[in-house]
Amino acid sequence: MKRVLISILGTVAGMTALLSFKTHAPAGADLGLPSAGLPGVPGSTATIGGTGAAGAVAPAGSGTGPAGASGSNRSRANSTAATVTQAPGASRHAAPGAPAGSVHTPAGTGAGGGTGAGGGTGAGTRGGAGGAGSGSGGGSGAGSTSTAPRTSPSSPAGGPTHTTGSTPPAQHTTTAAPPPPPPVSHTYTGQAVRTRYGTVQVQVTMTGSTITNVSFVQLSATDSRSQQINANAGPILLQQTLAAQSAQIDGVSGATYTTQGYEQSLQSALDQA
Amino acid sequence: MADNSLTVLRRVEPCMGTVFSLDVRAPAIEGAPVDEVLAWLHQVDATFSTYRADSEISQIRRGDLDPADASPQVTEILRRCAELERETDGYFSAYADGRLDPSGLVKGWAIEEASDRLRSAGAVNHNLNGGGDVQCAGAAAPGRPWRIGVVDPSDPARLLAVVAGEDLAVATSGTAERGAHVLDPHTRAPVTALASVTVAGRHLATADAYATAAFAMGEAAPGWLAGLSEYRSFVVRTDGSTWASPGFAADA
Repeated sequence: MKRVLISILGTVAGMTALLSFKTHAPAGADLGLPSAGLPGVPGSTATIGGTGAAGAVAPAGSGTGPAGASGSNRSRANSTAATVTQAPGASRHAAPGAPAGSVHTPAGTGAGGGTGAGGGTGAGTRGGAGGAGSGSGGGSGAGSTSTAPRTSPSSPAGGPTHTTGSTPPAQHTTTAAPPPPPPVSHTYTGQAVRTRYGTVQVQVTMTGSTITNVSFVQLSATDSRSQQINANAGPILLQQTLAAQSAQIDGVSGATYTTQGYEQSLQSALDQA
Repeated sequence: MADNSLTVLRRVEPCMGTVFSLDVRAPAIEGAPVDEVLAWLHQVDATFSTYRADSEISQIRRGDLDPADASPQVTEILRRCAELERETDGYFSAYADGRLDPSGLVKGWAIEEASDRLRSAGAVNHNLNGGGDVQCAGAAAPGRPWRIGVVDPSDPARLLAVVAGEDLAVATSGTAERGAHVLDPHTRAPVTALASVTVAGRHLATADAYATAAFAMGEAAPGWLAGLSEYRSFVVRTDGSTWASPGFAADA
């Protein structure tokens, strides 16, 4: 049995930087939403209400690059049930027309994911767990620098980040700030779960009570088809877990059948926390 | 676990060949009613699974059980299947491969029913995800609708769209990770024209069946989906191009 071992701890942002953005703009849609989250997680979400309370579909932002925070953002509602919400992503902070790759990330806004992905190094994301809450999912998830020593031990805790670069991966300029009291991180390893598609075992890092990282200790598959699926499923499942605590996405629709072992292992890890 | 998370109770349950994931937001409920609902899901699986020889569906398939003598639950599902078959010009069918297989409705229906039971038990805000089909009840947080990402079928590492709303159901049908598994009931051949169809609206049972039917329609899917007044949709073709329902396009 061939085994694929993927260690994501410490390489989340690096991994995400390798994943390129593509654009699939629905015909007729004029939303030009920037994307500044984990790969594919829109940094801003437009909720366009319709005739009912449920069921507005908005296209995810088409990132212009790994750092992906440029362009204007338009969204509006036109019915009583409609709500227009904008995730506290980078779009509010990115000047319209700003060059791709220019990201200014304030603390705890949820734009941290974008910064992590943009830099490709995970370094220098300000805020982190224990920050303003909403930023902990995307922010500390992708960057996870302030509080997760294993991901970026050299990053100053809580240091503000102003990232500017004309081409991704962006150059990082990190300015240290007075460090907050050191948060305590714990790592929990879930049980290895054997599925008919392979073995899955995840490790969860929690800082305080927030999940700051999820990695695969084991991600094996018994055939090449499943291996490919696992390789693909890893990022999206990671994203799903982190997103569960972010202000951006509450869940994912679409077939993800490696989910089985993943969720079981994840739950067993969380049960220890 | 996380006290600063919006989630107040989380459960993960392997069932129906996939995983059900429950995310309850405030107010919290006790574990006992949740256990009851999860047990009910397993009961549904035992009743409807085509993989279990002793299920009612398997008995009907073998001719050991007359559908007229089936349990009320099975009778209700078969009635809904027939109804949906008419609504979808035959593109949704419990007999897509020639034999009785209501699986295309059962999972979505079970998730929606389980969600209703959880709501009745006091979990007025939650989402229940069964292998990528999601029924959300209430809101994610006060004043904040649920947000469900739609996976890019050609690149599971990214999301193509976000569906947001309260009391929201989102179902996606596609070939992304299971290979071609949707059959055109008219030809009984696997359908490959589309990469995925996502349907969102109030009820997951209906959304799931509509997504399956539209997927089977192939290129004709947008035309049919455009006629749905209460369900919005998002189609990804195999060439990567996308289509969103007119309601969406008009709003956008």
